[in-house]
Amino acid sequence: MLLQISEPNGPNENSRARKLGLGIDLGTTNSLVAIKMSDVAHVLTDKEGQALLPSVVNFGAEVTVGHAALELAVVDPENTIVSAKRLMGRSRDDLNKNQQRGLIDADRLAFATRQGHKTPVEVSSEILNVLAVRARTLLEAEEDGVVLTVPAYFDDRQRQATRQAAELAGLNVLRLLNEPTAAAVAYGLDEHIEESDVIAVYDLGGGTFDISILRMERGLLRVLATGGDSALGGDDFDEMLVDWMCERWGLSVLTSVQRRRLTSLARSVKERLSETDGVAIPGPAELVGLPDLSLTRKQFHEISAGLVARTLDACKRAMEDAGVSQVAHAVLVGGSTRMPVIRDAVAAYFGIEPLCSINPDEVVALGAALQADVLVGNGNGEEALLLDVIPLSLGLETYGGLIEKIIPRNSVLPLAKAQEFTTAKDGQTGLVIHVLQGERERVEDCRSLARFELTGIPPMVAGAARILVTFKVDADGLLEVSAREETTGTEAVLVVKPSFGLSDTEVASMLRSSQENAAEDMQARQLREARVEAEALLHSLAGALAADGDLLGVAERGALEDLAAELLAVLDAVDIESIRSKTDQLGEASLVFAERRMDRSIQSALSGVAVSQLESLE
Amino acid sequence: MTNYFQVFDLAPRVAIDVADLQARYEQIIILCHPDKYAGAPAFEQRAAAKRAADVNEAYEVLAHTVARAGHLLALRGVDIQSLERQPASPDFLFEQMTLREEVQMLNTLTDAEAVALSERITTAYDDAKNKFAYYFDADDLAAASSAWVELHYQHKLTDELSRAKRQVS
Repeated sequence: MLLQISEPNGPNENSRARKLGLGIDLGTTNSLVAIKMSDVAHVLTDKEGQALLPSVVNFGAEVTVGHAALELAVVDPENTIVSAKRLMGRSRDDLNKNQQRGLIDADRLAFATRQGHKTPVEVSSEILNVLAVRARTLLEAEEDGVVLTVPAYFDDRQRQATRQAAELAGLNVLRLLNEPTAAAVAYGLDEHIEESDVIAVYDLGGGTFDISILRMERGLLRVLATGGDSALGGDDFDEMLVDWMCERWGLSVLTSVQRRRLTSLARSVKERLSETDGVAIPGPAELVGLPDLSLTRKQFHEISAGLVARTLDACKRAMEDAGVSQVAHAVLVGGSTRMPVIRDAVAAYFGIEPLCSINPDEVVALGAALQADVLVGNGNGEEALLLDVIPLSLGLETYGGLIEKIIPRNSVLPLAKAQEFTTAKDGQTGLVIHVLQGERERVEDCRSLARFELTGIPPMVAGAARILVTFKVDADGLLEVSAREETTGTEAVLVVKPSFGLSDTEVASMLRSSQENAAEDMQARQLREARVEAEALLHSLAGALAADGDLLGVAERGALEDLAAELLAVLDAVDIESIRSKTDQLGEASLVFAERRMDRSIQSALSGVAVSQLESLE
Repeated sequence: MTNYFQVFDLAPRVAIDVADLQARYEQIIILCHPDKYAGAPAFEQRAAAKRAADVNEAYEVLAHTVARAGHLLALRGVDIQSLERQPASPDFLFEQMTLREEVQMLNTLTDAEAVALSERITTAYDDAKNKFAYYFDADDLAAASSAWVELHYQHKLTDELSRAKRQVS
């Protein structure tokens, strides 16, 4: 009965058709969407043929995103949000004066616009939505899932905020992928990069800087260490130029329109300096009577030396963490690496001419598209596995405002780690668990991720309670913390959520209002998804039984087959709940079988190692 | 408790071939990472994620000498967390403090002095490692536990030495 399902004409055929996985690079300055088609990743362009979508949203009479919003940024700065990514998952204390401009006066970070208060998460979701619609229009189909890239150095709150923006846009997120890792995927083992090469990916975007050290192998792409600064990017070079111009022109107070004007002037000066050795900077027409300035590339190098040095310090630490003293290649990623000052600095630091054969603006989205294709289920198993790391250490507050590190930075994901704590006072019945992320020793110098209380510990003498705190970080780099008092089983579990983003209820109500207008009936969609999941399970179980059925006893196999038959019996019903509950039952019951199969494949792989060891001894 | 050596089919010893461990790790993680179960039913992906986390943890422990030695003791029922809080002998602590002060003064030393200090610390670390292996292999858990406490300190010292060297360069 089960085996019928794996036959070519079985009901599973549909779900085996090629699926659509999108790669989206949500950038500070520009965003892109890409997809893998016939073995190659392509960026998708808008009606005008442009791939880059400026990450700018205008909330005026209507919501405008991209190039049109960028034009409005100068005439309607109050309602136009640029570089929202820099505020994702942040709180007010993290921001400088410039960044606080236009924000409402409340705990939550939000911009006051004609369309009401807009959080950075909502702004990002508008951008994601435009990219998804672009892809759906071009592909004439709805995507099955997306891989969304984030700076490698993003902390847990910034990652959570990014994921929330995608959920708000109604996207199915397959993975949050680190930008430098995505770039490495796009390069793969190409004509420059050979097996076992260690490479450095230097990624300077509009608002963030990442450095990752990776080892490329056939079958495995392993991040050895990552580092960076999630508040350092091309924007800072612009701001530095604005300050320089203000100083030369004797300007001290700027209106928001003037600031936007000077910022866009600074950006064009910076870009022109990548092409020529010197530029003239005319005083803006609206600021009458200013003399022309001139800036040479050499002067620009001098004034930007501090910013460049910050990136190189991060490179140095990442190299140390990776335990390597040199790399075979340095790859340039991000539009800001077009600046000659960056290219020269990278070449000098790593002692090699950097690689940039793939467009640095597009390489991240292209790599994300390749990985989306694998994660959506189109892979053949031959693709390189990406092993990424957590960028910042995780720890708990202990006494005296100090942090005890539980998970050191650059630990490989996914991971789970438990540590035992105890009570400090006699009769103590509660314990506050304060989770922090960062490298410094004191609580106030690290990012506070969550604070929760484990209550109901029975009164005992100090040191008698055994409280096990477990940290789980998944492949997206997202954290879940749970605490359990071992002697009584008192338990508290917490998925760390961004406290300055939107609450779950807010997201749910926003999603509902958008879906009420959606053409597809929710009910029908859920039913279809439940059936697909059930069929996938039956199909995979049939295959597993055929291959490794000998791992089960007769009774064990019988029990699985009975549950499978029960699921098959409800498959054509319209009752979503019974399909789901039978799927869960069968899934749970097959867990042991899945684990035994994993053991078998590991055993056979290890005996392969043993044989090759023997051979190398001979 | 899980025997991390079994995860990689290795003999439980403090001396291991790190390159061999890495090769085994990479082979295993490719087989159980959740990404290799893309498109598989949700429960299989969960099982894979759990296994991958276990394998990562096992590798992390075995790849580092002090953690590996601690795991050997833990497998024999020694409470490592309380061992970590246990003070070493006063003589040993005094020697550690003296060496630590010298490390902090690294930038004031002549090249020859710095090399000598560096060699002394490296040798002391290797000695501690050998001492642990000797007692552990001889099944003397009490002596192995004391040796582990010293190894722990010596390792911290080598860490501090490399940090100081980086600052000087």
